[in-house]
Amino acid sequence: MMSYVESRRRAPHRAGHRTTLTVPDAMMEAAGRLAQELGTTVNDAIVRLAEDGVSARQRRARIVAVASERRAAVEQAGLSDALALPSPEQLHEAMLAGRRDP
Amino acid sequence: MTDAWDTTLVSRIYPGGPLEQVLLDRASAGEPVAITAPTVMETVRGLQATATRKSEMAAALRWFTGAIASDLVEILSLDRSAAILAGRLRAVQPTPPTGLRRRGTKPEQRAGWILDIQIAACAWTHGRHIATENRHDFQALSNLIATLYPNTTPLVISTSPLA
Repeated sequence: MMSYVESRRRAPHRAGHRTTLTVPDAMMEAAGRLAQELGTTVNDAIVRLAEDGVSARQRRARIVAVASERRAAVEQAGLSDALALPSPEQLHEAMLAGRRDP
Repeated sequence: MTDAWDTTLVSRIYPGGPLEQVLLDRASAGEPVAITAPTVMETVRGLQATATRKSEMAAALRWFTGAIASDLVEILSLDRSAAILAGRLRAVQPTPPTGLRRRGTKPEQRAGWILDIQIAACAWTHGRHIATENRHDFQALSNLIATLYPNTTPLVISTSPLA
């Protein structure tokens, strides 16, 4: 009688730290699905998911840093601006000019 | 850095087309394409206005609404910073720059320019590049931003991802 035994899945060897994690159920399920899809171990899938998360987080952080720098420049106002204000009438006219002018 | 698509690109997205495939690819890679709120307004306005004359356009409006309401794209709002910048840009350059042959009447060109200002302001203040087929006008806007805010990173202009 022939029997087919699935060989034990092996993950690629990684350099790094070993640790113990408490993984939430939802993430464990996602890791299980990914492991099945890639033909790898659940441990390897968890690392891959974490790498994706790190990459996404770094990308968001880069965008936030650039946006923050630009927003700070746009919203910058100082005491010298307040001291140099025109009269209330002049200010009123100037603000409405944005609606009238082409 | 992910870029924001302007109206020239968004208007070329079609169900099953190559740009929709780019949207899908980017979303699945966790880097959804950004679209600015003024582009959404401009595009939806065009679809709605045409839908009153052509019934099949109503289906297109429903498809586009579904696409932009999904996780396929990220919508960049015209918020405080973007509004300040757009106002300053419009004041220093109230009409479209010269040197380009343009379609439409003068008022239409002016309306388009105001939208481009808002699009550039949204993209820049949200930390994005702008992808457009209208390099001429957005380069002018990038130059204006650099003049107004000289110590900041510039608005980078890229072409269509299919180019």
